[in-house]
This record gives sequence, C-alpha cells and structure tokens, in this order.
Amino acid sequence: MKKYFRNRMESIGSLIQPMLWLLLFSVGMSSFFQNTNKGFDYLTFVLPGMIGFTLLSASINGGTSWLNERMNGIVKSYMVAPISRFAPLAANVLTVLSKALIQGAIILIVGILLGAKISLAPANILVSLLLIILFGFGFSGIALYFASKAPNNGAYHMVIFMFQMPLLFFSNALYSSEKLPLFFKIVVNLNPMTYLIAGLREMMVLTDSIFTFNLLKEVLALLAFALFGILIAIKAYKEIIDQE
Amino acid sequence: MNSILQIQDLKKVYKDGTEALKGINLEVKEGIVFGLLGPNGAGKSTLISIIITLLSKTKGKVYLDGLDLDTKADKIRSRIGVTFQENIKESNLTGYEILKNHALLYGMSSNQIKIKIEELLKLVDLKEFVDKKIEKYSGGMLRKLEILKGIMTEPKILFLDEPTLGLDPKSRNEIWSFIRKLKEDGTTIFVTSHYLEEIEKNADEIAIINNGMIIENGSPKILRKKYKKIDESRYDSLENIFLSLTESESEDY
Repeated sequence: MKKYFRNRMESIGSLIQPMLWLLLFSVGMSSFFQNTNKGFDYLTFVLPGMIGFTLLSASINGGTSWLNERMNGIVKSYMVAPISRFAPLAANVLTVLSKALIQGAIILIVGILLGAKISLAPANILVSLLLIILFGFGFSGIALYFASKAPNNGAYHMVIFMFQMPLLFFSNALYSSEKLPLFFKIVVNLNPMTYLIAGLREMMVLTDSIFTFNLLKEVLALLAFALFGILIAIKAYKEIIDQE
Repeated sequence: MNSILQIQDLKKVYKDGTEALKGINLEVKEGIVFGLLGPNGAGKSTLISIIITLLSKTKGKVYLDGLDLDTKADKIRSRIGVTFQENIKESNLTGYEILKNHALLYGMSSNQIKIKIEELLKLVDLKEFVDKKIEKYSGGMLRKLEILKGIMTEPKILFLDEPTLGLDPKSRNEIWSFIRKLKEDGTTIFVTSHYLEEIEKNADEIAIINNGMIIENGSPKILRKKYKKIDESRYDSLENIFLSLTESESEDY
C-alpha cells in the first residue's frame, strides 16, 4: 500500500479514471435514460456500476503488481522467508480489496455530492461490502491466475482486457438488461458482475430491507465466483512455488 | 568443526526429463566461506534452489543445521539468508524500508530492526543513502543492500549468488571485505561466483560442479598442491584447474 500511495501516477490515476467515467456517463448519458430505471436518475442508477468498474480496475492492477513482483524477483524473496507459502497471494488479494474499497468509497462520496440518492443504512452498507468483497476475491483470482501465467506485462494486459470490457458492457452496470436481445440477456445473466451490480443497486438504491430473495441469489452467485477465483489463483500460484 | 550443511545423494530431474543433479554429496562446515564453482548449466542454481527451498528435489537428503529439508523446510527458511544474483527492483521504497519489510517477514520487531540496521550500516558505507529511494543507488550500493537484506535476520548460513557480478573492482573489493567480516562474526557463507580469483583468495573450501555432479572439492590451497604435483605449469591457478576439469568432463560427455 505504501508503494501505491507513493506512486502518485497510479494512486491518482486510479481515482480519476472511475470519477471520469461517472461524470461522463452520468452527464453524457443521462438524457437517454431519464427516469427509465424504476423512477430514479441515471447517476443514482450508474453509481453501483462505477463501483463495480473500480473493483475490476483494482483487480487488474493487483495482477499487474503480482506480475511485476514475479518478474523483479520479489516473489522469490517471499518464497525463501519463513512465512506461509500462501501469504504473498493472500496479501495481494487483500491489497486489491483495500485499494478497491478506498476507491469505491471516494466514488460513492463524489456520487452523493453530485446528487445520487443512496441509502446509507448500516446494514445495507455491510451487505454491500460483502458483495464487493466476494466479487473482489473472484476477479482478483482471475487476474492473479493470468498474472501467474503471463510471460510479460504485454501478454497479461492483452488477456485480462479481454475480460474487463465484456464484464462491464455485458452487465447491468451502465444500462438495464431488461430490454436487451435474448442472446445478450443470457450472457448478462451469466456475468458475475451483473449480480454484484444488482445487489449493490438493491442495497444502495432500491430497498429498505436487506432480506430479499434476489439478494440471496446474488450472494450465492458471487460466493461461487469468489470460490472459482480463489481456486484458480491457488492453482496457478502452486505452479510458481512448486517449479517442477 | 561441525557441519552446517549435509547433502546426500541429491538428485533432480525436471518434468521435461532433464537430469540437472545426478547424485550430489556435499558437506559444508560451519563458519567458513564455501565456494561453489561450475560452468553455466552445471547445476549450481538447481542445487542452491533446492537447499533454499525454492525448488523441490527428486531424491536424496538435505540437512541444514541438523534440520531435515523434507520435514522442517519452514524452520530451515528461518535460518538462512539469501542474496540472489539479480538485484531485486522495488520501486518507491528506500533502502531502510526494503530492509525493514524483509525483516518483518522474519518476525523481527520494529525496534529490533532499527537497532540491527544501525549496526549493519557500520559495516558498509550506505548510511548516507539508506533513507533515499533505491532508484538513486549505484550497482555496488544495490548489491550491498541485497547482502544486508540477507544478513538482517542473523542467518546461520548466508547464500550469495554471484555477489560481485557486474561490479567494478573497487566495489568487488568492498563486498568481499564485508563478506570476510560476516565470516568473522560466525556466519557461514555459501557463495557462487564466476570470478575464480576471488573465490581462490577468499574461500576456505570449494566444490566444483559440472553436469550435475561434484567433480572436485576441498580447500583451494590443497587442490592447488594436489594438481601441482600432476602438472605444475598447467595447474598453476584455481582457474586453470577448473577449466581443465570442466573441459575434460565435457569431453567425456
């Protein structure tokens, strides 16, 4: 985290990017979506999507850090230290989540200042955090998997960006999926980001109660995604630490 | 003198079938500078990687400070220090922070770290730079920092992989002076180097590895005496002994 805060280009850039997206979409696209989403404005609608996007970016950057540490020999120095073999992996995921939560909180504050109508009930915030953490584990795991396999930064970014844009656009982050063609709807419903955004929207915008069937579905879907991410990250990591 | 490292019939076969180590037997006494020499591809890196628990072995036994690598790898890691050949590039951190982060992995407290760093800085000329970011360090300073990292945690045995590679003669001299001080303090030093004259001058014992086997070992002095008897003009230095042994091994293969 120290390196992240000292690297001003990274830390400031990672905050500006989602804020820019928030401004661009809320201002630029709002006229196309006036009150079409359950009676609230587009800024309020898109804010959970921007938090999700922030999480995607933080996970990708986490993979970049991991790859750089592999290439620079830092992972080797962890491997010969008397710490758990999986501590470096866990530390990377926790760093990603920390960065994502900081960035997400800033996006939320900016959104509220711009006029988004968000519920700040403690129980809703806690459930939102759970959803963010589960998704964070899932996509961090995917990013770490590719970062463990990639021979260089170029290859890693080429592969991971193939996931980032589809995850964002084949979801309900920027628009409602209700009126999409059937093929897109199927893809959207298979996208873990859809469940994150739907859950965040329910917690932050739509509901007073945290106990809904949809929420249960979303938690289970994200739990499965988190387990998938963790398992593939561990698999790739084991291949690094057990170089046969 | 006790042995700090014992290797018995160590073998390593990689997944692609490459037999990197073909039955290594080696013993390193405590408190000495031990040099491992070998041409590129001889198996040096594989051997060291197994000892420092970076790589799994196929067969054989390794005991470090009486601990069995098969069952006590974690404890072994707490007793070794490692300075890799490449300088680790951690941007945006100062020398002090790099040493501190490393020591934290070994369970040292902030206070212990502070005292230890102050103590170590007396041994090397880095005091002026330790609070500066490592991007400003020269090659020699980076190597010294890496060796300090390895020694921060007071290991029983310090593994140095090419400690003076790419450095100017003055820096190389300084590094070896530092290594000799560490030895005087009781640390066993296990070093690999392609600078044979440095090993000849500084190592108490050496082993020559080629094609996955130890082909000669002993003190440089005794080896020179032994080979001088065979052909004084041909084997007038460790380098010539090394070249002759490794060339003849290559021919056999």
